[in-house]
Amino acid sequence: VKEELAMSLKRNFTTAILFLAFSAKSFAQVTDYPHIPFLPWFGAGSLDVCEKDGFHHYILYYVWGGTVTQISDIGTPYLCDCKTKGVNIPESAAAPVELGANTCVTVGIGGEDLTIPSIFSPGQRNEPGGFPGGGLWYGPRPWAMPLTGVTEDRARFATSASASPPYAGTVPFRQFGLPPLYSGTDPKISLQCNSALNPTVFGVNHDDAVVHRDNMCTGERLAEIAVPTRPQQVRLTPDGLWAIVTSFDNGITFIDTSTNTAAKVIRTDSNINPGGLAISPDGSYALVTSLGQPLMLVLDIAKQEIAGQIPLGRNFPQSVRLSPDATLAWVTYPFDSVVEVIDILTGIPVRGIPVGTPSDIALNTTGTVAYIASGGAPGSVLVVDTKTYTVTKTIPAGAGATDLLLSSDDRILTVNNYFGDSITVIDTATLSGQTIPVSGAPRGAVLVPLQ
Amino acid sequence: VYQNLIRAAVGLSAAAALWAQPAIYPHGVVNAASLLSPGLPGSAIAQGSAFTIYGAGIGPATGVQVSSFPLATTLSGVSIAAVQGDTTINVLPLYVRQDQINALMPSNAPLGWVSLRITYNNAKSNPSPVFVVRDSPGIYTFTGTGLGPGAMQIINSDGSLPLNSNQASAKPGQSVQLYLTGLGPISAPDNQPPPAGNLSTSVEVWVGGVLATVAYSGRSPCCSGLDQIVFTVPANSPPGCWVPVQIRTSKANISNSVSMAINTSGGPCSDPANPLSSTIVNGGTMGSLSLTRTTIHQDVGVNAPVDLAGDSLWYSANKLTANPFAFRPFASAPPPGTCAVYAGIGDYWASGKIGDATVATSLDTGKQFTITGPGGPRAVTLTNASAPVGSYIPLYSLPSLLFLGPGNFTISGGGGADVGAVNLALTVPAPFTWTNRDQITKVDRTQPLTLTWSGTSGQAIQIVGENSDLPTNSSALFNCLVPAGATSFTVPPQVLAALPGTRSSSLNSTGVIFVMSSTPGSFSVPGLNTAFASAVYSNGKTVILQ
Repeated sequence: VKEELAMSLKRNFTTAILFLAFSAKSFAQVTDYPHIPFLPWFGAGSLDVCEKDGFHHYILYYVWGGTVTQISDIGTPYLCDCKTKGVNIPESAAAPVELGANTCVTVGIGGEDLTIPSIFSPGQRNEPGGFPGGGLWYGPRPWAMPLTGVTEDRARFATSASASPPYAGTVPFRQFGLPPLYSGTDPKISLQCNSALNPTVFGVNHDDAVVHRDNMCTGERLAEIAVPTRPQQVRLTPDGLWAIVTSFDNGITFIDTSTNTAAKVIRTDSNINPGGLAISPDGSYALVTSLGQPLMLVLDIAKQEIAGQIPLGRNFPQSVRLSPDATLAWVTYPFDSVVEVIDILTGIPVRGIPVGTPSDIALNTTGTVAYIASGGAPGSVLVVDTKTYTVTKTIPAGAGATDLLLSSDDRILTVNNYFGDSITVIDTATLSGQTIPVSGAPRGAVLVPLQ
Repeated sequence: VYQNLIRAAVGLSAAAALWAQPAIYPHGVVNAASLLSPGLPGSAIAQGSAFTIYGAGIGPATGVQVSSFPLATTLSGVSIAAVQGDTTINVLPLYVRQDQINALMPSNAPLGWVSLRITYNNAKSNPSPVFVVRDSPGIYTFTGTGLGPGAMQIINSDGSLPLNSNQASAKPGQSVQLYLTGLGPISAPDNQPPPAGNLSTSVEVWVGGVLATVAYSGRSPCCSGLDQIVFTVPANSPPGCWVPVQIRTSKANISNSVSMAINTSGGPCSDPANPLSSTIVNGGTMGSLSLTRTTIHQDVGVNAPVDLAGDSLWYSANKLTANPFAFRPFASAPPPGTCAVYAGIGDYWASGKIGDATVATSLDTGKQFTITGPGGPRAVTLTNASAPVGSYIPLYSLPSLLFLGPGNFTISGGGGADVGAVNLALTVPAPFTWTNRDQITKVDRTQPLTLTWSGTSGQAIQIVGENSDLPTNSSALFNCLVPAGATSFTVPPQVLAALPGTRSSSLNSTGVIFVMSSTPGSFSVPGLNTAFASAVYSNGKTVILQ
């Protein structure tokens, strides 16, 4: 009986400490596994698996103009010996190509501008004729492209290429307390565009006053929807039912994504120039900055009407981003060189952050860190602790840093440097960036696929 | 929200820049007792309750506390307003300091979202959104974290009121008074001493999962916003040093989960199911080592279900100091058959940090270890007390390279600066079956959740559920210990209710449940008073918490 009791106690005790071990292990190790969004149109990515020290690592390739510009380890804190950069891959390459010794196995090859080559001419410099976001740009140019048709996998990616074949797919899991993937071999995997997902992309053609929708797998132009002239931004509602488009020339368009038609166009007063656009996480409302007026419009998305205005303290608000919990709106004022954080409940500025020519903002998933693109020359990205609103680091970027896109696992921040003909890719774990020359003036951002 | 926004915002003149002014931190307004961060169940602020504001420059450098009634609306230059539309309510400050304010939300505060704003020496802070409800209980804790031993006094027949601690356990059948805030508004003026008497708010108290009889639930007449519940420790409540205690008001609003010490004979607590408790309570050195196989069936937010697996080694050791209110999450385990909840700020999966007020020093166990099993030896290096050993993802034709299959393993290491060399054997059991795993995807948090399994003879079972609400950067986790030999367990709804619900976008939530088995081993190591080992099989799946 005593022995049984002793064993029982041991078992019970082991139960007691079991989670002690589990929790510490898993909590210490977890790196939210790759859920990589479609990357900005300056360079799509392709996903790869390499092996180092017996562990698999997912590697994301950034591609621009037929050149692999960046290779990032997106899945684990370990780095492979496969950091080959600047490898020229023929745009005409039709099959996966080995990058050679000391490189990862390549599973996808990116072309330039990838999904939508027909509406963007790589290398074409669109000279600005006015203030950023003001709409005085020349030449056909997509500005913003949210995706549809990609399910909300925690771990996902979508890539595309003008080279054949383009790629889109998902990594359908997130890493809950699992060690890094392990392998003793070097698998050569091949991913195909997942046509079942039917991933599509919206883009805004600012100069031709159209919004287009393209199939990411085939590059097929699915629709062109006329909108009020000089469209600025497009965002998808969380349910994916509506694409909302702002047009500088006094218009806000609701596009029915099931029919690719403009179901409703709201005409604003002539002194209101819709620009920046942020949709609340619950899809109930949207905020729209007016580039010519110190205010934000509040859109009732269900009613598709303007519900009111929020007065702002400054003129020429440009971009607006909502904090993940939708309590704060971050607004950029490039002419005043300040970013203001607005309390949504009251419309009162919570804080102002001096930033030279701020253009865009990105917030991490938990809203604890903000990144602000400063579009001076040279440009930079400011890292802000949102608890204290202090700038904890300034990361150099290229001239004219404009759009920011943070991967949905918060690991990779990409920056368009419009005037610098470059992009900057920032590893948010180390807060180090690499600026990579590209052809053409990168501009525009793509949203993470919404649900 | 936007309607409130518009209503509040229209007419506001362009506000001046405020960045040199007092600052309320984001998510910095919490229940003064539970400290549950916004986004978690129980995080709303109740009318007539004490709450805490965290910030910078929001009060004097040295803390100042109110000392007499009537309470004033200004304390040492600090005043606080709660605004909803055209309604403004003055909040009553109770304690003010440059980085923290404790205050009383007036009983007549408007329900719903209000905007809180501090004025200190005529400088206004940023507004901060606060959700006000009628009642929302938060239990005070001796750790000051909202976790661990609750603030309770044992009501002895001789009239003495000792604090419940690991040195002074309550006996079943004894009356205990518990201190909390958030039972709801009172009709008397909030700036005067509150009247004694039961409030109309319905109250339920669970002690080790057993409903207790409540004799009193109302204000403590000493102090504004301080509530008191007197309950009887149920005769069938389980003994232990950390018996979970939870409160629910109005059949809907759950409190933080705290603990109390219960012993049939009173005095120091005894926790036979957890030999670690002796070291935690009395101080000393302890270590634990485990070989763990973690599997997870992911079927939420994915195109198709996928089963992942990974193997790892975990080894850590700590030195603890004796404390009558000592508490360490997980190690201060609840009694078998009960569940504890740990909730707080941060993404638990990403940070691995759960509030822990116990003074502990990490000990160096060494980093290099060799694991030898059926597949031969494998050298591993610990990083943050853990080392991956193998994994498998059934995608892209990747081979399975798991290492910890069923069988006998030895673990050896040369030791570190604080802890000596280790050499022990562990038997990894065959995986067990979570028989109703695939039927559990959507979890109704208002209903009991029963899990069943088979193939765990001789093993100890533990159930862990977690959900992080990423937009609010908050997490909650329950930890249930299963009685020996059981092949099923029901997680009660009051435990499930403490976890945040899954958002419509699963990208914003991380709901997951694990059923975990362990097979014990043992080892002795120079430098450790207590050392335990186990082989663990963790069987998990993703869930939607509704």
